[in-house]
Amino acid sequence: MMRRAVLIGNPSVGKSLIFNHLTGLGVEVSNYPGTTVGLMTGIVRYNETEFSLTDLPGIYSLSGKSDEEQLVREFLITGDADLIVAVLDAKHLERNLYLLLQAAEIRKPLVIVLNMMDDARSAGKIIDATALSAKFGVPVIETIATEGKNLEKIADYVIGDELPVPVIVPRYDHHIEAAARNLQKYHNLSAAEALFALENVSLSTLSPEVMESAAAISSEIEKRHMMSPEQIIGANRHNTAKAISDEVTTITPQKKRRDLDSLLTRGFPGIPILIITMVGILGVVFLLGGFLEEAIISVMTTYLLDPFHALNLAPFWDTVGGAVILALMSGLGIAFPYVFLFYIFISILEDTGYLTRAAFLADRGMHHLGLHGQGLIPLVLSFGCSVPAIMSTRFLPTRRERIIASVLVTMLPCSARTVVISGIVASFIGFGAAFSIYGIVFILVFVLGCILSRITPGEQYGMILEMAQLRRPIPKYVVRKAWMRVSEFLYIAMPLLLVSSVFLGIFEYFGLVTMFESFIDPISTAVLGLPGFAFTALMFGILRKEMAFETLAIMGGTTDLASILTSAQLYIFALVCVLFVPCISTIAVLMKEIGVKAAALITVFTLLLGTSLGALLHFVFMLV
Amino acid sequence: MTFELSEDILEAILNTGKAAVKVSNLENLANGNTDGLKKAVTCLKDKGYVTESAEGLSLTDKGTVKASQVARKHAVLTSFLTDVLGTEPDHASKEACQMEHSISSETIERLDTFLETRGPGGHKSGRGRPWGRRAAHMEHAVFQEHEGHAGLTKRNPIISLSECEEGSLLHVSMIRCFGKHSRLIDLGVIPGELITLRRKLDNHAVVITVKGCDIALSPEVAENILVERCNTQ
Repeated sequence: MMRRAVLIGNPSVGKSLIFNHLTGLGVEVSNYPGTTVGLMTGIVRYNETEFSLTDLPGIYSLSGKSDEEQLVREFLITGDADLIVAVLDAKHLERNLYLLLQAAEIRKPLVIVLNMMDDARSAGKIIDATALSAKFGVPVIETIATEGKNLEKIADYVIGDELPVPVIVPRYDHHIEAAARNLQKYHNLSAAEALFALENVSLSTLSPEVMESAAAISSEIEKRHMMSPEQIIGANRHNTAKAISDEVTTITPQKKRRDLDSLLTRGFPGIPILIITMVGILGVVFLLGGFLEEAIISVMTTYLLDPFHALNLAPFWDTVGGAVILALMSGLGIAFPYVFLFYIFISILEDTGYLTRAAFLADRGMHHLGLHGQGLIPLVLSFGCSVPAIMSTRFLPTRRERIIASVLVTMLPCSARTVVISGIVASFIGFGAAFSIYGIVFILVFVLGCILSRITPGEQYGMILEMAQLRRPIPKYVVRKAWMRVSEFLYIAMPLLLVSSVFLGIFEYFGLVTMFESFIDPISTAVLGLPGFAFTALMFGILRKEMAFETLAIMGGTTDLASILTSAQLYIFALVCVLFVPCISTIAVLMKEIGVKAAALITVFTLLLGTSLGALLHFVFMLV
Repeated sequence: MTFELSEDILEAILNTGKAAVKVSNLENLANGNTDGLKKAVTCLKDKGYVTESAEGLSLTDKGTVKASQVARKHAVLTSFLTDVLGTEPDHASKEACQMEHSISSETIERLDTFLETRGPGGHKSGRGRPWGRRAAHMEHAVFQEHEGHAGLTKRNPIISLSECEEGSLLHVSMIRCFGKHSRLIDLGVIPGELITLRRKLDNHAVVITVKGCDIALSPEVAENILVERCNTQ
């Protein structure tokens, strides 16, 4: 039986670094049942023994109500882990001990990894690992994950003969302890479970009955203390953490070093730096991405699509095969140039710790849209590609914010839509008209944000965000992180792209597209003032937005679009294309991140918004 | 009347901090009613709270405990009046003088618990406050408690974090709408914790340092954290 170890710890303590260092390439990202939280599991081969290692999401406490916290809690209590590897940031030992104390109370085998020993030392903190080890009764491994130092010792303990179980018993207020003892006795719970019940957090092993009696006791304690058990337990635990940390840490005063934060987090020059960074990233990805995309598409056309058509297969198979290749081109054409590049930059921002500063500065602006500072990231990303933008909404703390951000992201013009706007409106009508489309979209997004922030269910929580340490990113890990996200994207979007592309191909083959065209023509002409073939081109835009542009040219039989459509028609075409129905890849990611129902709602909403705005414009143009 | 006066006498002797106090020095307590004063002193001597010698009145051990209890009631009440109700300190002290005689120990305990949760050093076994309120060490702790609460009335007012300036060292008093911000506990922002306000933007979004870590807070979170300025490190 292969052993299983799990990594737990606060966010940004170097868990992922340790995970990446220990596991090989065979990393698998799986969703924990019922949640959208990704779990990374990899196999470690060490001294001819194999064990699996799972990286649990970074959290501050096991008693919280967020998806991540629930997942980790559930996993530690009911999961099949043989060893918990608790990773601590040595520099912030006291804060990190809080989670460790909670994990230790579960009384499962555990080892402590004291990471970032170099940082702690340069901050003048000397930690007595032996004393810490004695306190908890489990081994302490001192590591420097960025240098890979001592990491193999973790593996030693996982495959070792003896799995050390912590012995520490944190003390709580005597009312809490009495209550916990009662619960343990009457409901046959472990000490950790009893505390969870008192803190009123859900756990699959706690029956509603237990929760009810715990709630009764809790309210009594709350009355006496004027403080909820959750708060009392938290405060007690912090005190224990403080006492332990004081005991094992020796602090030598250090000279103050230059503090970059005095530049980065002030209104000035912080906000100009933020704007330059974001616009810079956008610009680079735009230019480089566009170039790469073109290269990928043209290479695939020359070496895959053209040779395939040259095979002269039966027309049906030619169509289906062509559709498959088209889907591959769409997928890869987005994945590498945009998703990958964006994630390279985002990973750099993340690893340097700048992202949290950006979120802090952006908090104010985001408020108008019903979002918080962290919401900046998806919105900036959305100018490149909606897919990574929606994937990044998972960093937002509440479902409410994830939904608002997702809606706004699908509305904002991604690079593909920019191609449509520049290719059709800017080239055939003029720059002013092209900017007016951006204007319309921005106004819509702003209004929609204001409306959504009022009507979206769920409570609005303020931002509580730990500022990550500023540090130099390690290129290898940046690339690796970006790569993992790209593969995740391909995994989600590819199947849908393939299926829908093949279906469209088959429809085309059986003449359904022409039928659709003649069927839609009167409606489309009446409502949008567009001929049937233009509307069909719009439908193709669902595969990939710029395909609407390409298809329009193909179906119109000319690249000089001005010769087949009037300026008004072109304008309406572009506007509708930009607004209505996100592309298939976006829909796929939406379904994964916020659920099928919400994804369907967004799709229908954008469809209605796009067509009704198009119809309105058509009506206005007719009057003029 | 005698009862209240005798409690006042005990308290007054305790507050002078001297071993013995002349009866003549206590006359202002009785508002010129020297008969009443004499009667009260006799009563106290009979009950074994004070002894009279050539230097004046001294508290017995029993008297010290009793006096401390009264003084504590006074301190808790004053603290409640000034910190919670915002009564002006002099006025509060006078009012407390009247209330301390009729308030029950039970109510004082509850009031103290209340102050402890909302006031500085809110958490139990707290570092912020050196005094506990465990009954077991009550008799030794009374003096400390007295000092503690007397100190409380002199402390800085409790204000919201968004009202403080960059760079100030602050003591967390209380967190409003706690349920919404339970992540604050995880990060160590709990009553009694010392925090530094590192950065404040003009929209009152702040960065605070807690346990050596920088934490960014939205304005609406910051305004729910009530703090007290610390003048000394």
